[in-house]
Amino acid sequence: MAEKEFLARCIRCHKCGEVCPNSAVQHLPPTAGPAVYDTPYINPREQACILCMKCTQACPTGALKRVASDDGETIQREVKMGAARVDKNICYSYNGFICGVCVWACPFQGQALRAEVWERPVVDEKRCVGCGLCVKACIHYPAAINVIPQRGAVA
Amino acid sequence: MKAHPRHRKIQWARRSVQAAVVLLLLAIPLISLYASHLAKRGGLKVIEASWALSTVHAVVQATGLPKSVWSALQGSLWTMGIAGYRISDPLAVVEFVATSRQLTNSFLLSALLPVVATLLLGRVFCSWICPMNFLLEMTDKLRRYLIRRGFALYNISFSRRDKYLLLGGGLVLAFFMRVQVFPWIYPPKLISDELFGLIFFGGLGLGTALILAIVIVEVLISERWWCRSICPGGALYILIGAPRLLRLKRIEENCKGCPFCDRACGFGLGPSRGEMGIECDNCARCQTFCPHDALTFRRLVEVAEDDGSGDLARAAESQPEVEAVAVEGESSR
Repeated sequence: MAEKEFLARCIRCHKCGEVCPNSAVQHLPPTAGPAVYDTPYINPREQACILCMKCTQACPTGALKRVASDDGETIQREVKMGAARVDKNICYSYNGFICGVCVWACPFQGQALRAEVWERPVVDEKRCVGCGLCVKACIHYPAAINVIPQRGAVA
Repeated sequence: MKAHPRHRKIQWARRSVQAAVVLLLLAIPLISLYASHLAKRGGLKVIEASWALSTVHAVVQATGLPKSVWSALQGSLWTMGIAGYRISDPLAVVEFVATSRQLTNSFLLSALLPVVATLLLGRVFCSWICPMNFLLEMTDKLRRYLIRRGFALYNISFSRRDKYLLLGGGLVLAFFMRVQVFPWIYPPKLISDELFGLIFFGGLGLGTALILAIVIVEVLISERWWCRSICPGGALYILIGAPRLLRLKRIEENCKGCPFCDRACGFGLGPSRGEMGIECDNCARCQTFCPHDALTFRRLVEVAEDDGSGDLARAAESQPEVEAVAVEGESSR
């Protein structure tokens, strides 16, 4: 749903942050501004989303739309936290080395993120759900792959 | 002021419930933290390293209760889950309706129980459950102690009407700008979330600062400022609870006109003049401190005795005249 819609529905109850088994969901501090203070966010570099869908079950108002966790196709269709983007200037595979760790971390390996020659990661933005497991896995500092929040695309 | 020996029991019950609510607000995040560690690999080590968590662990193991029982209570006073059912503060639901413009979301049902209870009993959330009211009743005692000891404290009085303006203004803002304002300022949510945050997430937030600010204002500047004149949640409870069945009533024959009940009233209402009004939260302090037993609870709907003065009685008496008119009318056609 669109971000404005999400902010309208979120009642800042923190249930999503509480129930996340990975402690990936955190809540924005007051410095983020009054409109989004206390709403949930994920910083994949600290802890990525493992797509367990527990937060969507816990949300009392449907700001996080309820998604069943057992079906990969459903998850890929319903979840859209953003899309990964490779920074080809710093990614090892694009700069003379062979890596590919991000591709192994991706839960939709081969579809959303696939490895081409020299293990170069290529993202299919339409299929990427934005979980950030690739970001967490990236061995380059700073991360050579990042999740770009897409305009109007918040799960 | 001495408490009436019989009515003191109500205050004991009320204080017990208020204290129980605070204990609950501490227990819920602790149990939630325990459950979240229990579900993780190596979580048992973390549990055993903490005295609080290992106490929870010991109690759970000793009682042998299944997880569905000991983790039945989840959430905060803003919105709480009880064994899968959801109960929310009416303010949360009303603001949600304003921002999301939805009337078919199941979240709306979660306010049903509080709304029905308030319709029947009045603003009892404030007097029996709200932890902020509990805190402010205690700090009010501190204020009165300071005054008795000779400190010259301000007492600026604000209009009771301001609460309704804040409620209305907040909802209008919520509707047009789709921004929620009450989660920042509503003390029961702030207290629940600060306690939760302290135990579960390990830190305090802006809420603590606001609560401290309110306490300082109330002790030094304006007695019972927040609950009397600002709280939008209180305003909503008052509006919902206006038609309440349970009310305090003054018994004129017993009343000697002394000021004890007025002094006891936390909201500055006038029980000695029979003026409780819709702002009364049925805390019964006036009843407890009345030395002459001049205040009582009454149900609004009372069964009156039939003394022949009702409408039906009068209609039955005038029945022969009605029949005569009807007969006359017929024959004159």
